[in-house]
Amino acid sequence: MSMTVRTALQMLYLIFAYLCVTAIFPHFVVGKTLKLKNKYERFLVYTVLGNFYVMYVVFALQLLKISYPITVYLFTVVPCLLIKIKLEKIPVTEMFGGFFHTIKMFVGGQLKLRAYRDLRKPVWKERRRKLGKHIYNVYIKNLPDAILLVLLVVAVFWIYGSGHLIYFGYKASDMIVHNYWINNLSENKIFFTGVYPYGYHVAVYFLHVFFRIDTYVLLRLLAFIQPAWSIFMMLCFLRLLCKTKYMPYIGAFMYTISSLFTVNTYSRYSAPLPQEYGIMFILPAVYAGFAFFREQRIEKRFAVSKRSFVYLVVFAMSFAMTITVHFYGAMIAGLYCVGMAIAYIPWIFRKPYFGKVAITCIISVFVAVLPMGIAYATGTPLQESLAWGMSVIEGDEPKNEGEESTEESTEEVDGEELTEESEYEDPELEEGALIGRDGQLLIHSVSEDENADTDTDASIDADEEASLDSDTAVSASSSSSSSSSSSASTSTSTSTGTSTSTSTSVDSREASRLEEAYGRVATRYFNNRYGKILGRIMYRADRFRNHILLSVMSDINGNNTYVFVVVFYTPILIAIGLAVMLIKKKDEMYGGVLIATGIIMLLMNIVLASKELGIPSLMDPNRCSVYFAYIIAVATPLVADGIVYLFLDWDLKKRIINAVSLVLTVAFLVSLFRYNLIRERFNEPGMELNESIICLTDIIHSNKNFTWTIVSANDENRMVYDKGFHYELVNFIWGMEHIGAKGRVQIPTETVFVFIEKIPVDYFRSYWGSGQTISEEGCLHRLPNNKGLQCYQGEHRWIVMSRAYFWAQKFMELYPNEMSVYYETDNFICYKIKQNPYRLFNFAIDYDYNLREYAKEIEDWSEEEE
Amino acid sequence: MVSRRSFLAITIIMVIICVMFQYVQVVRSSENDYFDNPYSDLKLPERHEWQPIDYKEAERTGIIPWEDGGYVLFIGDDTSPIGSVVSQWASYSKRQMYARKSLEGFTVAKFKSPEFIILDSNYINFDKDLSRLYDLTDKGISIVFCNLPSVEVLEANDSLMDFMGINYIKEPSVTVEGMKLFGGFLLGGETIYEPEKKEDERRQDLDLEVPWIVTGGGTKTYMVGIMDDYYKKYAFKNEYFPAIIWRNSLGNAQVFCVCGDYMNTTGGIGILSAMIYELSDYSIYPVVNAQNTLLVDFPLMADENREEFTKIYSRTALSFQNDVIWPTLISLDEKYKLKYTCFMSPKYNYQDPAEPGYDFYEFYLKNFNERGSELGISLEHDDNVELADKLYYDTGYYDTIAKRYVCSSAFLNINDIDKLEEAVQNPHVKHVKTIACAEDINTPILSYINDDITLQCLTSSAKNLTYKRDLMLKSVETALAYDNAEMNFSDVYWPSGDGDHWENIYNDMSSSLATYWRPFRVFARTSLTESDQRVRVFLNLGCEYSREQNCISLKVSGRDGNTGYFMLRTHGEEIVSMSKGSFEKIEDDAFLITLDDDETEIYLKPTDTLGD
Repeated sequence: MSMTVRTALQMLYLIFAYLCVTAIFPHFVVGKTLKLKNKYERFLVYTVLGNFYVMYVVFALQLLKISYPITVYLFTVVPCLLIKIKLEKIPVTEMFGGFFHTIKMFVGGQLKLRAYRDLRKPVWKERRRKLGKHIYNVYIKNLPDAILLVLLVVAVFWIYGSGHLIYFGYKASDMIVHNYWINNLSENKIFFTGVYPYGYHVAVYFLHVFFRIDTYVLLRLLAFIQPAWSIFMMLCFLRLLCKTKYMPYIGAFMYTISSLFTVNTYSRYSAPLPQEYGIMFILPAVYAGFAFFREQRIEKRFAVSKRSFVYLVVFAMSFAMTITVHFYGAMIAGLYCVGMAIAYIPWIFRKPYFGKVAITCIISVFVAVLPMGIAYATGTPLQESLAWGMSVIEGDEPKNEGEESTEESTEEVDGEELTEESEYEDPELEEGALIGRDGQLLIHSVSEDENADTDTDASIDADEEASLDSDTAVSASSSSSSSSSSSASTSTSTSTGTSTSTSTSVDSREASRLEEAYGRVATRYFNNRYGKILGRIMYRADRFRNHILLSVMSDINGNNTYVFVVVFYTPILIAIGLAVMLIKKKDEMYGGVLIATGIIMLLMNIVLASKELGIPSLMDPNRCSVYFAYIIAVATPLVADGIVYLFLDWDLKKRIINAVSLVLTVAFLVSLFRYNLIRERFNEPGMELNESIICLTDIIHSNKNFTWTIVSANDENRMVYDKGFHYELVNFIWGMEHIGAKGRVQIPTETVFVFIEKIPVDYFRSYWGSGQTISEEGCLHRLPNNKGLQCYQGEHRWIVMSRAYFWAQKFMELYPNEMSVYYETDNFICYKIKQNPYRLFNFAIDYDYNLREYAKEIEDWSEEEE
Repeated sequence: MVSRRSFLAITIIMVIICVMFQYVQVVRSSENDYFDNPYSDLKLPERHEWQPIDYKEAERTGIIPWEDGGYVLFIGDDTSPIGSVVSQWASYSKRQMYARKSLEGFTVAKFKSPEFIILDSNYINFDKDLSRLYDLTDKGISIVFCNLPSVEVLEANDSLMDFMGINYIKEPSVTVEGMKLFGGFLLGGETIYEPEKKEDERRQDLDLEVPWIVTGGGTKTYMVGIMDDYYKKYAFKNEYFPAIIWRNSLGNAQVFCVCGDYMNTTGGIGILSAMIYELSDYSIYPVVNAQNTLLVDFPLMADENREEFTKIYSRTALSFQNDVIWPTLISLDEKYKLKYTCFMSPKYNYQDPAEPGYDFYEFYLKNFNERGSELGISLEHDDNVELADKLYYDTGYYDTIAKRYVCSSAFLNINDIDKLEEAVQNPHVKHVKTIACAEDINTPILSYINDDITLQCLTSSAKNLTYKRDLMLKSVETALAYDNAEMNFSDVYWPSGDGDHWENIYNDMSSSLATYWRPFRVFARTSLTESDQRVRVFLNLGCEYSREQNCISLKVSGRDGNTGYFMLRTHGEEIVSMSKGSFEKIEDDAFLITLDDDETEIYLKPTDTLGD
């Protein structure tokens, strides 16, 4: 079976598994008892319920140290059944009595299969009829809706899923760390490296245990599930709040396929990172908040009704999960709630609302923090990346997260202790940095400030007026290039080694100079006094556009002025919201939705520009832009929906308004295609060669567990957990460095596979010889002795791979029958060595280069000295 | 009261049942000719065994008769036990052998390049010859050390230690607890020669005093001494256990070393075959494919040792033989699918007054015939009588009973091998075509005694299979797919201790069959005459083979229309198909090939690559 077919089948199974968690199981348990508005609300609530349930089941089992496949099955299934029995008041005894009676009748021959079939025929017929009717009502009757939904699913798959059928490796730096943490859950070691929001990890662990999907497969393919569900949640959210039927698709398509956003706002979706997993819980929490106000308002009673209680519960769960999965998601949900509180200020401080809302918020935070609190109280320290997050909030110059993710792990391989010290992330990279195999940064950092400023300065110094235009052009092109194809900006950042994401404040003196320059241009058209003010405003606006908005919004064919439209979302939404509240009393809650969305837009602008505004930064701007894009995609259809609703709903029937929304949606889609605003699908190579994953998968499937070891560069390290063993290639080579055959490198498994890249990948860092093949020249360099990933980066990887290859050649000469080529392509070779596990081979041999005097280096040094 | 109708029905049923049971016996008796030996009619190939070139003649004339890589060079005395083993192995594997007593004067330029070199260390002057050996390995010629020089010689010569892949010698001599033979070298898989139970201690006859040699990088070890106590005490790794048989890689050449006297016995032929297999990516050679079980002095026709027998078993020897021994032998036969060759002895101890009887002769012939067993003549006898006298005494007995049954096989005491020519003049022995006798290092396992009679030496014993004999069994199975196992019943009739009591012998036999012979079930179970036919074919066979990618072409000569058998050993490859023949898997990477044609193509498929 080819890897593409295997991946496609795995993807299908994963979709089924996640649908089970987020739709099928919850529907089975509460489907009959929980009265929800429509299918969108069902899906939204079920997603929350399903995720919350599995997360907290695993949390409980982990904290009790009894998390094993059997307990996971038991504690997942049994409570579900009990809840169902309780909610539906199922007479279990009678049901079983009837079942056994039927069996008895079958066994006794009183009931034949045919008779039973005839007996059940009317029931099945009725079910078929209902299903047909449902399909007709949902899909045939709403054909445009169904078509748009299908198109959206196809688009989501094309953009986020199809690339995974081509490139199989992990696509983010810290996937290995997450893999490691999830692996530790199998050993009941939650919070292994400290207290950390583990919601994402326990969810993945649940999928791994319950559906028997290998963790490394999950961590490859969840990258499709995460954006898909975030978009589906957005669609459900908008469908539930918008007054028009098709406008929500504008937001969903805008976020899915348009290139209106910069690459860095969605490139993180190429890997299943916790932050992106948390995005799917933001809008359900917000929706539950809106729904609570709506229901409470409708009920007009001071006692909590069942329905509004359900929304409060959903809110609590959803908000708790935003905290549990990633704090940033909770911040955005919190900001939206702030907007909601402002929008519903006439009601929120009323007794029935405030108390319930406050208690729910407290409970949700408590529920979220509880597992972490228990761990902390029992002596587990905070995980270091939390400190990194805190430093961002506190406004300190953040250390790179990667520096803190250092871990020291010791594995025991069948009595053989393999000690490895791995910094799983490049210190020069931020968490989740996504880099193509050629070393190009896919995530464009917000902070191109310095370069842009330099450009600006240079331009203004040269010729003030002309320079202002050129400044715009330069900045725009800088941003646009970063958004459409990251290569240009990236190569700068990587080559200069300035890929840090934090923006540096422009020196105030320089700022004044620039303001003056803008002022001088303005005074040509205005008097001196207003000209200076205008100049200052122009300068600030220009900076805001070039350095803030353009980090989120991309230009359209070189025109970046339109990005200011986003700034006007806030006044428009607030104005429409207020108008709706004042004019359309019956829909005052809808007005609140618009106002809240307007406020979150404003708040997001402020958070994003916090550094510019000189206020404490809530989150890293680069991360903020991811959420901002998501919120813009939510706000855009709401703006359109609000306008259509406000101006057309007076006289026209709903059907006509829907038709208008359909026309607008179609027009939007057509414009995207017409103006070539369609983003490219995720099709970047992973950090591993495809061949590595192909070999790994085959090894796992065709060898008995724990009878094999893979010797490779890092990435397979965590992937082989609970299947086999891994040995670091660099440690392997170092084991015979300087001492040759006198050393002792032994691997205590029957089969050993050695992965060697013939053309070493640029693992998060390119170098002067990127793309070159391994060679004797590579062997002539001193073996890198850096700790962690650095020994596999840039030139070091080339040296290590060259050494490994020549070791393999020599070893094959010594053991021609015991070593064979397992798999080979132009880029990659995998060797298989079969050894006697009771008399292990000593892999330490003299392969010439390990005993050389590094002639080339000595030569270089002498040249340098000269 | 039974009604008449019921009575009639019962009677009819009883009659039917009676007829059903009796009919089978009646038909079998009438249809079978129990006095006919089906094996005596086997068509035996004519003698024209594969002959090596007489290297002594070549040495005299100075004309080198072989091509580069076309011979095996042996440095040592070809009349010594090691020389005999090497000579036998070369002959069986159809290789030319050139024996010299010294490496001095040997040059590749003059004598052409050998396939590999086998050394008896006693004939090597390491001070002078080591550089020559290095030169030879540089040319890609592999070397086998059939024994090691003394520890002093090794320790004094670091270069020699490097040559042999010895990292260091921890102790000049150490007593190991047992030996461990790793799988993949000899057929039969991994075997531990260390008694677990007290009763197994008598099996241990391997030399446990060995130098503690620790091998270095680039080596592969096939057999080690076990030091469990040491391991437990000092958490010592397996890799530091004393190496017994190992290999060191020197560029394209390999240096094999055997520490101990394992090459001084016939078992050495299998070790050499395994080394050849290790040297190349595959190995194919002719084999016999015969597994014989010889019951010597069974049945005994005289009621000997009556007093002692009655004391031990409460019955006479003949009655015990018929009622106890034979049924248990049948059960073993059925369980392990054996094929017995029973060597009848009219009398074993000619000082015993009991005379051979005739009562059970036909009984045994019937049984043997029905079970496919063969009846042969036992020429074994007690020490108090000579072979000629035995034959003289037995003539009267044979004259009376064996007029029609022609025995084509006989068992001979190894001490009487010189008297065989005389023995075959006896009218009752003259039809014998093959003789089985005990193993002797100077006697080839399989050979012609004269143009008509072949000799098949014993290779194992069912009674007391010691570790050394098991190693030899594995070795001979590896080299020849052949086993000639003996169960001597004279000890049962004339026991010298408790160990000779039937129950103990049966236990031994049963456990040995269940364990030590188990890996070789693929090989054919044969009577001695059947085996004789295969041996003659094997000795006649010559073969040439070549490989092109995944296809091995095999050309066979000397088959004479008979079925030829070959062993194919690969490294991580499996046979997908073959033309004009069939194959069976013996174990991982080992296949038995049956060939009814002179040419075949064998297609292999690697198992060590992705997706296979």
